[in-house]
Amino acid sequence: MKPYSSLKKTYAITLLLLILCLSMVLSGCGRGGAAAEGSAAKGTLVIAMSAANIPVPDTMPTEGYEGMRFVGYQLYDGLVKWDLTQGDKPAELAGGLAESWEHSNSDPTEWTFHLRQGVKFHDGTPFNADSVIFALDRLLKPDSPYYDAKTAGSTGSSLRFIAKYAKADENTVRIYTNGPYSFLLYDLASILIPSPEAVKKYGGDYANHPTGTGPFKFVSMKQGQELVMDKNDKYWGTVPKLDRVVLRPISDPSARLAAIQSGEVNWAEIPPTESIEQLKSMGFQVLTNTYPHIWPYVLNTADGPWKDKKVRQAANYAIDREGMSADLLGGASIPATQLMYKGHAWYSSDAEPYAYDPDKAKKLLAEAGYPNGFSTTFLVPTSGSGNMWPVQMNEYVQKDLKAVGIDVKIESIEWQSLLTQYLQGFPKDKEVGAINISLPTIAPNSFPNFFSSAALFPKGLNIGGYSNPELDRILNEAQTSFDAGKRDALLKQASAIIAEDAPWIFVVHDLNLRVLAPDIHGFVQPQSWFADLTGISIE
Amino acid sequence: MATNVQSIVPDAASAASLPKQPSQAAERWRAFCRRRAALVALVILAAIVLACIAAPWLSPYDPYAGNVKERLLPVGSAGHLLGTDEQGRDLLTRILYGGRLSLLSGIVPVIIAVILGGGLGIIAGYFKGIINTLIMRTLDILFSFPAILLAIGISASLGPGISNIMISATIVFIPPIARIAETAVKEVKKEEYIEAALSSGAGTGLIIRFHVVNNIFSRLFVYSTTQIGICLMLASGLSFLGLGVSPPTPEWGFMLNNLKQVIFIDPIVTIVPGIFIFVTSLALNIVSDALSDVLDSKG
Amino acid sequence: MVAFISKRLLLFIPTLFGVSVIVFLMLQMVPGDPVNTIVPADATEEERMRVTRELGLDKPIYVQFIYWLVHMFQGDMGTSIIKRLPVSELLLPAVGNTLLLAAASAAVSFGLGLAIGVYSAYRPKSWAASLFNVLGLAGIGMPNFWAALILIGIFSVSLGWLPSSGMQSIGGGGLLDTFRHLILPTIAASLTTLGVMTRMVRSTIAGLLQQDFVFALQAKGAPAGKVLRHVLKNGMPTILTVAGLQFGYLIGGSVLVETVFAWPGIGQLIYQAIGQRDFPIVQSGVLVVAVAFVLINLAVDSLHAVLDPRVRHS
Repeated sequence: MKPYSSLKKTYAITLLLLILCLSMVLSGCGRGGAAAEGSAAKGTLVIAMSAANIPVPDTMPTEGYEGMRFVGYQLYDGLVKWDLTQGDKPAELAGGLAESWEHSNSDPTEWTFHLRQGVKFHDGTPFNADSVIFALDRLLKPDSPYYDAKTAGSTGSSLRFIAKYAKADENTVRIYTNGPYSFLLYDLASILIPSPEAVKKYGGDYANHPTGTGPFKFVSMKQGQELVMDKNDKYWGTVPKLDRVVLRPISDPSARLAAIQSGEVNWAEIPPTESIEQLKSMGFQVLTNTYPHIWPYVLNTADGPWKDKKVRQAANYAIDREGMSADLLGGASIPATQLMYKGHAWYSSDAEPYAYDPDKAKKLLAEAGYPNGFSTTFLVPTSGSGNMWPVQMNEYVQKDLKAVGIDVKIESIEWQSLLTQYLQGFPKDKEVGAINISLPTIAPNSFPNFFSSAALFPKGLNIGGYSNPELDRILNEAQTSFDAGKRDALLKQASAIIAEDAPWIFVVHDLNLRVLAPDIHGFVQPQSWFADLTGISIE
Repeated sequence: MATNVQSIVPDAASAASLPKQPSQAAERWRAFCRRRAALVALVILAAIVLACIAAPWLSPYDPYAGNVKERLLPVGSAGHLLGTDEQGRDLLTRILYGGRLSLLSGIVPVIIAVILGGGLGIIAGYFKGIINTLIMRTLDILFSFPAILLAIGISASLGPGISNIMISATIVFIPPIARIAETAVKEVKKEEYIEAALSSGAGTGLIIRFHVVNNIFSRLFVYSTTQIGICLMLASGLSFLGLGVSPPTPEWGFMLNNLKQVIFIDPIVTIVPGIFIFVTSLALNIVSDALSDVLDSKG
Repeated sequence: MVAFISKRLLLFIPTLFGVSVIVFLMLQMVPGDPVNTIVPADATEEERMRVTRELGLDKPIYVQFIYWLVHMFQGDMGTSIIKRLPVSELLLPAVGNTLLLAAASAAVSFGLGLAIGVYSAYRPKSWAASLFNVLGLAGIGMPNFWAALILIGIFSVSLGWLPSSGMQSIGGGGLLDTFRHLILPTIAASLTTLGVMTRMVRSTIAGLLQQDFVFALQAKGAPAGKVLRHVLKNGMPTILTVAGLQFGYLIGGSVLVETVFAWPGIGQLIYQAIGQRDFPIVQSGVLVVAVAFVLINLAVDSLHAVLDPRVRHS
C-alpha cells in the first residue's frame, strides 16, 4: 500500500488548493461585489421592470404601458404630456412639444398647436411642424413610404378620431377630428414623435436606434438583459439629475425582490407583498398611491353564458375583494366595485357597490338559467405591466367563482402574447370567457375606448362586444362637451351604467407598489400609471 | 438530471447482460435486502406512494380549499405540519394529492415507452434490413435532440397539460428503450436455442413470443427502473416551467413554481415540494441501482 | 481513421435532415394561424391572402418545408414576432452565453468527477467513497431547478455573496463580474453531470485496477503516479465518450437553470419564445441546439475512434 501514500499527499494538496481558491473567490466577491455595485450606482438608476422582455423602444413600445412608462415617455415626447410632479391628485395634461394650443370656436373639429421652438432630437435634427406631420403620416397614412403598420396597430385607439392634419407654418400644426371631440389631447399624449431623420436612415432597424426628444437618450440594448439610457443634457424641460437609467426585465416578483435586496437594482416594481414589512425595516422606501387603474376581467359578452347580464353581475357578487386586498395582497390594492375608485371625480355613488355575496350570486345564476353553474376558460397573464401578482390573484378568484358554481379553467400565457391576443380580440377557435388584463383608466377616453359601440372590435378595444345605446349617448355627449365639469358629471353617469351592466368583472385597483433604495431622493409617486424620473437623485 | 436520459444507455446496456436462470427470485431478493441503503430507499418509496394513494384518508383537509388569512404558515404550525401555501391551503395535503400526478407522470411514460419502444426494438432487432434501418434511423433522429428540449418542444406544440407532458416524456424515452431491446434481440438471436427453435420449424411469431420477449424482459425491466426517477424529474421540470397542470390542481413541480415567489421570505415552505421530488427520485435511483446490481448475472 | 470519420459525416447529413423535419413538424402541430400575428385585426380578406402568399403558406407543405430549410441554411432565420429583431441576431449571443455556462459546468464536473471517481476507485471501502457514492446518486436525483432555488436562497439572499440573476451587473463589470454571476448557475447545472461522471469514472477505473497490467506495474515497483497514468490512459476513451455526451446535455439541458437564474442563454430564449408563441425563435433555436448536439456526438465518436482503435473496425 505504500505507493498510495504519495498519491494521498497529492490529493490532500490539491484539495487544499481548491478550498483556498474557492474561499478567496467567495470572500473577494463579497467585498468587491458590494463596493463595485455601490460605485456603479452613483448617478445610475437601475430599474427592475415586471416585464419579461426589454420593451421594443419604438414610439409605441411593446410590453404594454410599462413600456410606455419606462421607455416611451423617457425617450420621446408627445405634443402634450402628463404632469407627474404631484402626488396628491390625479395627474393631468401639460404642454409637451406643443407649448400651447387652441380649440377653434367656429369649427369644433379644429385644433391649433403652437410648437415649442429650439427643441432638437437626440440626433441633432431640429424639431418642427414637419416632424409632427412625419410622425402622424407614419401612423395614419398607409401610402406614406414610412408608414409603420405595426406601430400604428398598437397605437390604434389613440388614432381613431384624427380626421386630418396639416402644417400651418414652421411652428404651427392643425389637427382636425372627425366630429367634435374633446378628448383629443388625451389621445395625443400617447402619440410620441420620433426623429424623422432617424426613421428614414434606419428604416426597419429603427427599433435599434430609437431617437426622440425625451429627457433620456437611448444608449444600448441587450435583449433579455438591459436597456441603457443616458440623460439628455439639452432637454427642453427639467434636465434629469441622474446620469443614466438602466432597465432590467425581471418578470418574477421574488427575483425583483432579490435584486433590490442585493443592491443590483435600486428601484423595483411590485415586489412580493409578503416582503413589504421586511423591506421597510431594512430602510427601503416602499411606495404606494391610488391612481386610475383597474385589475378586471374583460368578459366575452358576445356569446356564451357571459352574454347574460345576470351572469356577469353574479360573478361580480361572487368575489371577496376585501379578502383579496387585505389577506392575499397585504393591502397592496383596494377593492374595485366599478371602473373608478371612491374619491375619483368619475366614481358614481349611485351604482350599488358589488359586495361579497355568494348567495346573491347563486340566485342570479339560477335566474339566468344556470342553477348548476357552468364552466369557462379565462386567459390570464403570468406577469407584466400592472397585472400585479396574476398567478395567485387568479387562483383566488377561481376559488371564489367555483364556490358559486362557475368552474374556471385558468390558461396563463406570457404577458406580451396575452397583449397580442387582446389586441386581436377573443380567439375564434376556442371558448374563452374572459381575458384578465390590467387597464389604466387615467384619461376620459378610456370610457369610449373600452365600452362604446363605436369602439367595438375590430374598430377599437371593446373586444368583449358590449354595447348599450344609453351609454353610447352619454359618452358621445361627454366627448363632444368641452366643459370639464360637465364632462366629469357625464362620465360619472357612465360609470354607473357600466357598473350595472357589468361587462367586466371588477376586482381591485392597484396601488402601484414599488420599492426604492434608501438613497433615492426626489421621486414623487404620482397618481398615475406613469413616472417622472427627472427629479430623482442618488445621494 | 432530466437531460441525462441517454447517458445511462451505455452503462445499462453493458452492465445488464443476460440472466442465466430467471427463477432465482428468492435469492435475488435476499441479495437486495443485504443492501441496507436500497432497503431503506425502498421503504421510503413505498411510504411516499402509499401516502399519496391514501391521501383522502390521511388528511382532514381539502386540497383545493384554504383560508387566505392563514397563508404561508411556517413548517410545524399547529394543525399544518408542513405549513400552508400562498392560498392558505395545507401544504402536506397538497403534496400528498399532488404526488399522485407527479408519480404517475414519472411512471406512466416509462411504461408506455417500454411497450412501444420495446415493441419497436424487438421488431427492428428481429427483422434485419430495411425495417431495421427505417425504425432505428428514425429513432436515432429523435435521439439526437437533448431530451428536455425535445420534451419542451413537443409539450409546447401540444399545449399545456399533464397528459401532454406524459406524451412528450414517452416520446423522449422510446428511442433509448428501443435501442436496448434491439441490441438484446440481436444477441438473443445468436443464442443456440433460437437457432434450434428455428430449425425445428417453429413460426416466427412463436419464436418471438416465447424466447425473445422472455429473454429481454429483465434487461428492459432493469433499464426502465433507472428511468422512472429521471422521468419524474423531467415531468416535474416541465411542470415547473408551467407546461403542465393549470391551477388549482396540485402537482409537485407546479407547486414549486408557485411557491418560488416567496423563497426570499420563507425559504423552508418554498423548498418543501422540491424535497419530495428529490427524495423520491433519489430513492428510485438507489433502488434501481441495487436492482441492476442484483439482477446482473455477475451479482 | 479518415474513412471512419467520413462515414460518420455521411450519416450526419441524413440525421440533420431528419432533425429539421421533426422541428418543422413540431411547429406545424401548433394551433393557430401565424398570419394572425402579422396582419392587423381588422385586415381585409385580400390583405390576409397577400400575407399568406408572402409567407408561402399557400404552398403545399413539402414546398413550405424546402423554403424554410433553404432559408435556414442561408442564415436567414426570419424575424422575431415579439422582439421584432432578426432571429439570428438574437440567437448568436444566446448561444455564446449557453456555451460559457456549459463550459464552466463541464470544467467543474469533469475535473471534480475525475478526482472523486479516481479516489473512490482506489479506496472503495473508505467512508469517503461511500459518501461520494451517495452524493453522486443525490446529484443525479437532484432537480436542478430546485438546486438553483436553494443556491439563490443561501448565497444570494442569506449571505449576499453572489448575484441571483443575469449575467452582468449594471455598467459592464468586466470579467470578474461575469465570473461571479456564473458561479451559482454553474453549480446548479453541474450537479447531475458531476454525479454521472463520478460514478462512471469510479466504475471504469475500478475495473481497470483489477487488470493484470496494473498488478504487473505494481510488482515492478512502479510509483503510484505512474500506475495512475497508465490506468487513466486506458480509461480515457470511455471517460471521454461519456464526458462528451454530458457536454451535449449541458448545452441542451440547462433550460431550467437558465430560467431560474435569468441567464440569457439559448435555453431561456427558447423557453421564453414558447411562452410568447414567438415561433421563428423556437424553430431556429431548437434546430441550432440539435445541430450542436449532433456535432458534439460526431466529435465524441471521432475522438473515441482516435483513442481506441478497436472502434474503427467494429
